[in-house]
Amino acid sequence: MVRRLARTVLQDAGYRVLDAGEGDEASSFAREHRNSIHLLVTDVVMPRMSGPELAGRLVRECRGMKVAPGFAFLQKSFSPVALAAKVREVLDTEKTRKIALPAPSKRA
Amino acid sequence: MEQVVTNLVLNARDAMPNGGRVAIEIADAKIDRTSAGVKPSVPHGDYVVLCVTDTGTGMDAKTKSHLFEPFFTTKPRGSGTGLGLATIHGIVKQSGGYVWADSQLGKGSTFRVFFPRVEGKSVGDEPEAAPQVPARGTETILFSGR
Repeated sequence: MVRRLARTVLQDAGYRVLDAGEGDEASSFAREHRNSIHLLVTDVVMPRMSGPELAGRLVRECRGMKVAPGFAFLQKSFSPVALAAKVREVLDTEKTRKIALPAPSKRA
Repeated sequence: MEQVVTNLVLNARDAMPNGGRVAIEIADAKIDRTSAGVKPSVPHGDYVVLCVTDTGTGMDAKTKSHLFEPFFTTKPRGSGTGLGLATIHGIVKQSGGYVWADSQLGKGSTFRVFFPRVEGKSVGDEPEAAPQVPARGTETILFSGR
């Protein structure tokens, strides 16, 4: 999977990458690590819960977590350099909310 | 170019669920009357060809005939966008090139990308750009998906 490639690229660049699975599994995983997650990268289309839906949930629970526009990261055509640059950019942006949240979001 | 190679290699890998070999080759090529397996619409002349060959599952004729159509995918719902080869087709076409695939079911596939050969100095002969390295960080990133 492309995700595996993305994971390798980001790990090589020094990041800690956690795999949360999807849907409720991802929510509860994130809850456990809620204070130590800096960035969420999701697939947009997932069978059990869409990326934006999951992001909307987690953003309210995980203080300081940013959300990457997952499709841009995980679509097939990406280069390692572009991926790492994008991740850095999102992390360095104050209060990035690039994904449209499905439910009205309370700011943490 | 990077996109073309990345996409072709990822496809090659996906075609080999049980492992195998991917070969990437670049060569000069001449297309003329005697060239075998070349579509008649391709003008004769000098080309540079990029071949990506895998030893994977190969494709049947039906798959082959839809290969470069947007949203055509053989992958399970939700895992392929069906845009990889369509994107390649677009990029190659924009560069005045041609792409096609040879494949045998069970034996593997070869994708050939032909670009017209250009004489003269390439842009890369100018002062060399600093090699790009991925930006680094130590934060924690959570991946969600399959």
